[in-house]
Amino acid sequence: MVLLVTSDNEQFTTEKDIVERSVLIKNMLEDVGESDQPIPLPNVSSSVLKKVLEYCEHHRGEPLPTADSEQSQDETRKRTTDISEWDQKFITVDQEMLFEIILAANYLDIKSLLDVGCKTVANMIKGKTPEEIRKLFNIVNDFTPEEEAQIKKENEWAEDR
Amino acid sequence: MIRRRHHSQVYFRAPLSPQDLPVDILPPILAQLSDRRDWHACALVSRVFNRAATPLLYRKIDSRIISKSVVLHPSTTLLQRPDLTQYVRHATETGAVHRGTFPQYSNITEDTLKALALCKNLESITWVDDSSTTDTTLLSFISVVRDLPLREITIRTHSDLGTTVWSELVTLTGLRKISIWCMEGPPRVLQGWSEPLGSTLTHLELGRCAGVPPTILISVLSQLPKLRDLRLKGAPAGSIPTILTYLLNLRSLDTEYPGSYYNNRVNRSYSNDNLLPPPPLPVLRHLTVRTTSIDSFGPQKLWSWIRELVPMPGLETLKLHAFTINAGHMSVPRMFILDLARIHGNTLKHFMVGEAQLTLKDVECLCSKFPNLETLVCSVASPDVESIVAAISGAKHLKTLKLQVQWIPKYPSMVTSTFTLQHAEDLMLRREGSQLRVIAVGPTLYTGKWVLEEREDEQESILKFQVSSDVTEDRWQT
Repeated sequence: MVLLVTSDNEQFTTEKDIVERSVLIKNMLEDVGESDQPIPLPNVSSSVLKKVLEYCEHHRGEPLPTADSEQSQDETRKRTTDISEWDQKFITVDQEMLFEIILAANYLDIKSLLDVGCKTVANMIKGKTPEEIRKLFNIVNDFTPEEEAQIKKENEWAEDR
Repeated sequence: MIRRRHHSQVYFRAPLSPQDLPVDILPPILAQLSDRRDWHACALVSRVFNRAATPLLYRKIDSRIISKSVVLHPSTTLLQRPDLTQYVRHATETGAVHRGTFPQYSNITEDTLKALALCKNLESITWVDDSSTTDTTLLSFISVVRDLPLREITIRTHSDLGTTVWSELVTLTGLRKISIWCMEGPPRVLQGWSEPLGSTLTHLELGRCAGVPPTILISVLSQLPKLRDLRLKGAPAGSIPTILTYLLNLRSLDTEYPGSYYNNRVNRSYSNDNLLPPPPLPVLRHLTVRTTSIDSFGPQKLWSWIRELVPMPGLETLKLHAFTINAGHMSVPRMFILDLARIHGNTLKHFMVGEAQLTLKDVECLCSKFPNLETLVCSVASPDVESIVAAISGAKHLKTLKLQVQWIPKYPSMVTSTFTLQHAEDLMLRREGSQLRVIAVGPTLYTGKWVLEEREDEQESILKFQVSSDVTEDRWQT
């Protein structure tokens, strides 16, 4: 069993093969060896860790991505909407939690969860205009009109196709 | 992605305000997009978005002819902003752009060559030319890409490339993928090129092999032992088994089977009279066969020929593009399904025979004999929707079902069935754990997914299954 401590000081006890889907934690466990020491996760809150562990438990035993799969990035990219149904339901959360899960997956180095989170946000961006994207994520347009015109000119070859 | 083995460092960040998209995860998010229009839009959102989207937008470049006098080409931008050239991995050039017909852009070929030379990470180039005259512009492009880390080359032209271009082309080395489709001129099947490519080439498409003597085709391909993916158009069917004996790493084969009679004994390097065991063949994962026939059962010996190509377990995808000349549907014999199941029963996931006809009993047989079946595409005659539901009930992992259905009422007085959106939804949710999410019946495509439905009056959102309908993909690419 492994003891994890979240940013809000909550303790989670979980099984090694579940938590080792996180490359960060796997490496930590390899570094410290057999130990009862709790592992601090100062970047992850208890509500987010609960979700992350739910994901890891569902996917326990599945093969971890290898270096090979990173080479075929282009192929992976083609299947943006290809999220399994369990994952799709799992990731159907509010936007704040979605971003928190992605950040935690990035920090904990859980590639498959990072992919699911990123694909979900990517699907939200798909087909939207710049203004719609700004509205979606509450972003301020910080370009001057001249800069905006310059970018439009530079990228004109790629417009509308 | 964090790849850190030391955990003594602690990273703090400010708490998120709602809807705040964290900047450091923007690159992996935008990398999941695939449509250029999305990256184009993202580049205009804000500075942060622009920084993340621009490298992705410039990964694949091509040009765009707007009118008889206007062409939009990325080379202008690349020459003004050479910092962007580092992102370019794939370039597509169109012959029509480089024929001096755009008076406002007279230096276009020169500029493109200059810009391309700056793309030090270029891995792939595609040349498309639909004009009917042989042109040597491609020569200058070959000489530029020679100094780049090029791994893939695709050529699609109407006219012949000509001896000069071809003799330059065959001096390129280190390529992993070659795809050549030239409509006119003598067929060229990498004679003199395959030997130096033997240690690198894994993907090959040859759009015209018709008329090439089988001995030449076999000797050329035998020099490419690393091939994993091979597509041949016009190659004699009789030479394919022999070719395969040289390509033990091949995983995917796409080839043709002639409509006319095929003599099993022609061009074989071994025969049944020989006591030696047949040489080993690669374990193909994906097999695509294109064929035409005047017989509704398909060309003679097609089925035994297919089985001959995949004697070892491992086939995951079988695709058949079959046309019959006498307007009927080609039928897939039950014995073929049973024989295939005996060897590939546990591996076959995708059975896609397009227009070819199966009976409902065949479908039932297929769904029980191939327990891992995920995709079924075929033609079928059925009295009603219920009979189809019953026929596919054995397929526990079915994800995609595409059928051309001929509705034949049981009794002449019965109303002819129609397939509705409700049928699609019922079929997708036909039992707990059903994975079926894509159904096409005739020209209509139904896609099902779980969506979060926001309710205005309540805080809670609920998950709801939603099926949408659309027209199926355009077969004729109109």
